[in-house]
Amino acid sequence: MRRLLKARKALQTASALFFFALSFASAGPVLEATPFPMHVYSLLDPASAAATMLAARAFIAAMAVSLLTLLSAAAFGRAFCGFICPLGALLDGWRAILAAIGRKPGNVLPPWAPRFKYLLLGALAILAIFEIQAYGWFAPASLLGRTAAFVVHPYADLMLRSIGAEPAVLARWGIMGQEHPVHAWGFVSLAAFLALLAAESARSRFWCRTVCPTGALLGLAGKFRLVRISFTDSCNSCGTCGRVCPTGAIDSGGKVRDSECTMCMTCLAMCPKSALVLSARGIGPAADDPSPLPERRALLVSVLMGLLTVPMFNLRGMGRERADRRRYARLLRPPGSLPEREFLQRCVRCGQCMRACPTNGLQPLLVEAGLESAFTPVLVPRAGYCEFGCSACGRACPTGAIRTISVPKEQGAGASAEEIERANGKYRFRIGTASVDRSRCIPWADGEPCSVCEEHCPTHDKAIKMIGVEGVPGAAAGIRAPRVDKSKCIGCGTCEYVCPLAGQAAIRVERLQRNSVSSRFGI
Amino acid sequence: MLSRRRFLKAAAAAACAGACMPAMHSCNLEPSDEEGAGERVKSYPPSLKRLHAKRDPKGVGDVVAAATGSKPGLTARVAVELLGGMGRFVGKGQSVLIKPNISWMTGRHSGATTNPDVVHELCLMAFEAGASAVTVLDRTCNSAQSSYERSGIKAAAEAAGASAPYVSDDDSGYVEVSFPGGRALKSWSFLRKALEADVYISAPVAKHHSLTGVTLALKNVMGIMGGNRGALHRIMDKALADAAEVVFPDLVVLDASRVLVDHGPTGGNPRDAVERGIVIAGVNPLQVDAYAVDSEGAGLFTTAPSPVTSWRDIGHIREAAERGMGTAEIGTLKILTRKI
Repeated sequence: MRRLLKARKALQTASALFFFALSFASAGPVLEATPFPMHVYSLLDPASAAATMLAARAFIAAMAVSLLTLLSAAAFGRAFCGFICPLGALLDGWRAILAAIGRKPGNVLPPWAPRFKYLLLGALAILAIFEIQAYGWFAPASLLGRTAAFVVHPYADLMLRSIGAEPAVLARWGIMGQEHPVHAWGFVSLAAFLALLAAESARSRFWCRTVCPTGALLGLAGKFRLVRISFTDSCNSCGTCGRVCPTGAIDSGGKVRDSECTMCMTCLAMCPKSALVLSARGIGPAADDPSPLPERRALLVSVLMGLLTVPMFNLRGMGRERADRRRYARLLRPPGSLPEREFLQRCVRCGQCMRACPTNGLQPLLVEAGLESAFTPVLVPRAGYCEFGCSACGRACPTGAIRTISVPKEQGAGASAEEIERANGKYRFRIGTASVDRSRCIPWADGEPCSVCEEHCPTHDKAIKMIGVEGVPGAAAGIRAPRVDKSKCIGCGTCEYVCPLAGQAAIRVERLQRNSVSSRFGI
Repeated sequence: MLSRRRFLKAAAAAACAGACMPAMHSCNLEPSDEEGAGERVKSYPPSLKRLHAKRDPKGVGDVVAAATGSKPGLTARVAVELLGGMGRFVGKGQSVLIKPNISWMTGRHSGATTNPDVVHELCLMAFEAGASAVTVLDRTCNSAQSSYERSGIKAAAEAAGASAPYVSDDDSGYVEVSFPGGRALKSWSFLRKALEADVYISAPVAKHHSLTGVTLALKNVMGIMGGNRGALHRIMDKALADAAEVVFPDLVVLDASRVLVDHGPTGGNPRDAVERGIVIAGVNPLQVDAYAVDSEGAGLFTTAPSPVTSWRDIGHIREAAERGMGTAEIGTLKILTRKI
């Protein structure tokens, strides 16, 4: 039995290591495609898949992989939580560290606690029915993905630099490759992660038993599982199993709650009488199943909870025109993003795009554009621009909220302007449009030479044109100033990034109205 | 209660973390304020060899060599041989820094970056002359990874056995250099790695530039300058001359094999670049630049959309000539040419 426990721990550890190894994989501008399955854990979550597809009213083929997890739950209950889930593995690892310094968190929770996750699952489902994607904040892969992107990655970068290594060099092999990652609101992820660890220090698997909505769904599916843990007659009711069970799934009376059991095998290994066995339903001795499923009243609370929060999110009632106008003008979505509403429905807030962005220009939002946008990516050109030859964010996105756009590695000799524009998806999916603030711009306001924005403009025919300025007081002859040709601007923010003014740039990109798809090529 | 042992363990852990802090502190994420960074270094340590270098130490004189051919690498080799060969500039066991233009990610056909074959050939020649190490670098405008890769220069340098490290913005990699005769700038920060080289070879590409008209050898120095380079644009001509008076190359190899004549410095449409097949070498960036643009010289931009016919048309070349960095009159230069 100890062998089974060891095998499970080995698999769990390998899975967690794989997750963190993947979190260093990147698909930077240098690579055509990432050699690693960066976002596989986001795709394995059946509850996230269901909520996302429901909210988006679309079938997302890649997420169909999560059916495997659901099938595993039908067979083995929450075994996913004990064998595969990297967050579960991390929490188990944390308890192992605590044990090494002589601390042992208990496993007793008040009876309402395990029910809360079902209420949360229900509330998130209600929100999804109203086309609101809130699942991503709680999906374990997203939670841990954000921690990797906003906490682990910047820290790893710092450590590498402190020993004189240049992390960007690793981009050639599809590893890291972000230049100085620093994320606004990253500390919120750090705080959330520390809170998880703190909770784990008080009660084992607190998150998994109390909050995790994915765990709740797997628990529901696990109620009818084929393989379960049951007691044989040799049990002398010593209570060891109930004390050692990390999820508190064994009652003192020798009953296993199938919806809580993660098949971690600790009880099997620790039972002094070897009285616990894995058995197929119907073969071994049956155990009672006092499953803490919500009663009718609790279900009602869950639905109410969901309904209550709906108006906190949604701008739909006011119609698209008004919603667009109200929307934060600086809400610059990554290139290839779906139109805003669909984008919000599909984005699972996993942080992969923001980690993949080589310039660190993609930053997480928190409250700037409303609760609905929390932890979605936005391009902050002053932090980093959208590099012309790069489509890393789209390739990192698990759900297609950001589509992968084609950007040729190099322009072929002799290509016409039309061909160049057609071949580069950046022209089709415009992020926004730049405009010059003539009251701040150096040539316009001071009559002194400057053309940094025009020089850096990556569009091949320069969306920024330098024009003569007449009538600017004190301007020397021949001073030219920038003007944006809106038909050529792709909104990449390079101009805003390089503007030499301190603080706010004198050329700024703002969101296109309606959506990010240009009608130029009939799309 | 906290037992003594646990207290000690915790204290040891905290001490270890504390010990790591200085190392982490050295990689500042924020640029230090200008006063701190601008601390004037009066006498430079001997390791900063470029700041102790003399102009034209091998006595080449006012010579500009121009080779023409269809293979840029070979053309570059011939141009350097016209000056006396790489052995004249690189001694046995010396470290060599090659500074091409790697600024942009627009790819080798755009003409916005130095031809990788030229870089490759220069690396080979430096090793042939006995160089102990050859480093190829540039502080790029687009991200280092895409610029180094897409220009083909990283691969070309590494194929020749040279290293091509990315240049970081990290302040610790830069040294503040003062310009005693500066007319626009009193000082500016320069890349430490570049200043430490025994031999400094400037290998720019000739192309159009929307602000300065053209960008050639004099402007190539910007690639080893730190700080907010955009801020230099207000005073570009004087700033470039200020820098050229203090930091100068031992050898200039100007790649004009394919010249971007419009929409520079980024390019992006290969039709904006014109095949010229020329590589110009010299020891004085001012003279190389003057020869490159003047219609009495190579006249690289005489037929460009904004034509340049005289070196006097270009502000920063004119400014450098006024500073007494040597003669820029084409008639007074010794011109060596060869067609391959």
